[in-house]
Amino acid sequence: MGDERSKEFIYKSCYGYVRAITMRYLKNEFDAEELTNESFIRAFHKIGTFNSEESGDRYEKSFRAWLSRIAVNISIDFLRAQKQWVALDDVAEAALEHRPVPVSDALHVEDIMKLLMQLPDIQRSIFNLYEVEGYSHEEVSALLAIPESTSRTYLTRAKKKLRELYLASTNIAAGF
Amino acid sequence: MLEMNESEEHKELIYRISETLRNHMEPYKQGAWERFSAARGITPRKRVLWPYWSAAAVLLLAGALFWFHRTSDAPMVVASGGLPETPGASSPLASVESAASTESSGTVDQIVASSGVERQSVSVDAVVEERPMEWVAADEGEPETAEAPKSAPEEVPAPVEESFAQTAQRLAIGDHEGTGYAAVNREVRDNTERKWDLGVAIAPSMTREKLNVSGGIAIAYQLSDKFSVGSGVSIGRLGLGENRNYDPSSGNPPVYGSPTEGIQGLARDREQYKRDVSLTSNVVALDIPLDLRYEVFNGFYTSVGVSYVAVLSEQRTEHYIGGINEATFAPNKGTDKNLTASTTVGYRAEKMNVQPLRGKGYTGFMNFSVGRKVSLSKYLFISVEPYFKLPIGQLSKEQMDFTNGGIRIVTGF
Repeated sequence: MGDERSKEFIYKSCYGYVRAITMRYLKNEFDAEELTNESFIRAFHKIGTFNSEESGDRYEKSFRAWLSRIAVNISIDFLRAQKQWVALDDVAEAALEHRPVPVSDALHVEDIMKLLMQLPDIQRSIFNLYEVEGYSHEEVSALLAIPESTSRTYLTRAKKKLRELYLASTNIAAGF
Repeated sequence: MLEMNESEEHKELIYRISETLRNHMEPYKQGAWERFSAARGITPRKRVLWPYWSAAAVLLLAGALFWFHRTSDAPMVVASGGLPETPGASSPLASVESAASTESSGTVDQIVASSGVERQSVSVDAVVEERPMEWVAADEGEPETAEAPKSAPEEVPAPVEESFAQTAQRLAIGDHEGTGYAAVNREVRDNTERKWDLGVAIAPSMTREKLNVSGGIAIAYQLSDKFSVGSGVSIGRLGLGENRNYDPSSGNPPVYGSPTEGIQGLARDREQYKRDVSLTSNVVALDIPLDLRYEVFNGFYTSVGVSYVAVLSEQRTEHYIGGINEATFAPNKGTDKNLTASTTVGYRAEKMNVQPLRGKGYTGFMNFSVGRKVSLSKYLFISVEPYFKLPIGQLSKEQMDFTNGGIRIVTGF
């Protein structure tokens, strides 16, 4: 009883956090919901392995980081099972020079998600892993079973594509 | 990449996207936990179940007994007004009676002081209402829960640092008591899980006589996360046999003279034997149950309750000996004829015009059932529930045996 209520408390507290992660990786909302629940199942199953010396607020952050790793791994596993990751020739990052795009207006999550979902799965995944979750290229390489150089290249391409998409969307908006 | 200073970098698209996504949380979707726990089942596999079943059985039995005895206990309370003088009685006889009563009946003692108790109970209730939530949690047995959080919003549960750490740590080390959060979640559940269930039920059932089918609607109200009250109405045809415990004094059975011994007597008094062979009845009955249901775990539940039964119509059939014949090809037919061996009895069935049960209403059945409720989707569930209905009171003394059992299938929405 107490066990279940504790799980309920954690589920309700962390649901939005985990679902935000799975939504970043998956285009389909139902798949995201399914993987959110899968993440909690795995977390509850392996919660005995979670160990943190922190307390209070830091403990919660530590727990959420642990939970996010589970959600990310499950999302990546799902994407890899869905289709073959497209192999990419090693392309020098220097060849993909880009200009920074300053943002003055507020950025809404809905608008960001629209841009993000236009990226190919692998580019979106690498962008999320590196830029949002804070993985290193070495970790991304290990997780996705691709060379580090490929991870860098995809990341560069993803960022370039996002900038292009953002500028295109702002130009369209300016046209109205 | 072109060079940027730090403030420019923070305004750059990629940085802003990353920051926004990193800090974003989706809103909690109403019912997500309920769907999660119902569909997946988070109960540990190796849990020992018999204590839960035993506790449920005891609780249900106690509830049923309380329900049945509540009416008979009430008059004692009414009579309590005259008793308060007895403790102060000066006669020896009164003091002896008083001493005897203190040993035998605590109820009377409580009633004697009923007016004082009422005042006390009001003041105690007031204290309970004023108690902070920590006290409620502490009552459940764990002192450390005194630091439990006082509230937790439902829609987007705000992280309550102490609580979260304690909960996760408790789960991590396998301490499954979790009472600190019982106090928190009790509020949440109280607001969200009290709900009505409405469903359509069909119930194939067996009596001693035949297979029957009944159907109707079922309704349930969730009292708490474990208890619910169910009711509804169903109508069905029951094929009934005779009641072995039939109490003739409760009805008006036909009176016959003593039968004559032997085959001649059998033939002559066959009218008397008509009803002695057997009697069956087809009854169309309306059943309105009131059940208390206890969810043991993960959709499995057990329930006990009573039914009001109204007999809408009845068709009785008498099975009797219609004739006594000598077998044409019986052995020893002729000179050494053995009359007993060569005589056969012809049975006949005849529908009766009487409907003694029609229009009668009874309180009726004691219902026992176990079952499992499975959610098919957000708005649809199905429950499969083996049940047993035992006639009680006047219904158990009727000429027909109403005992039946079967499987009730409820589809709800």
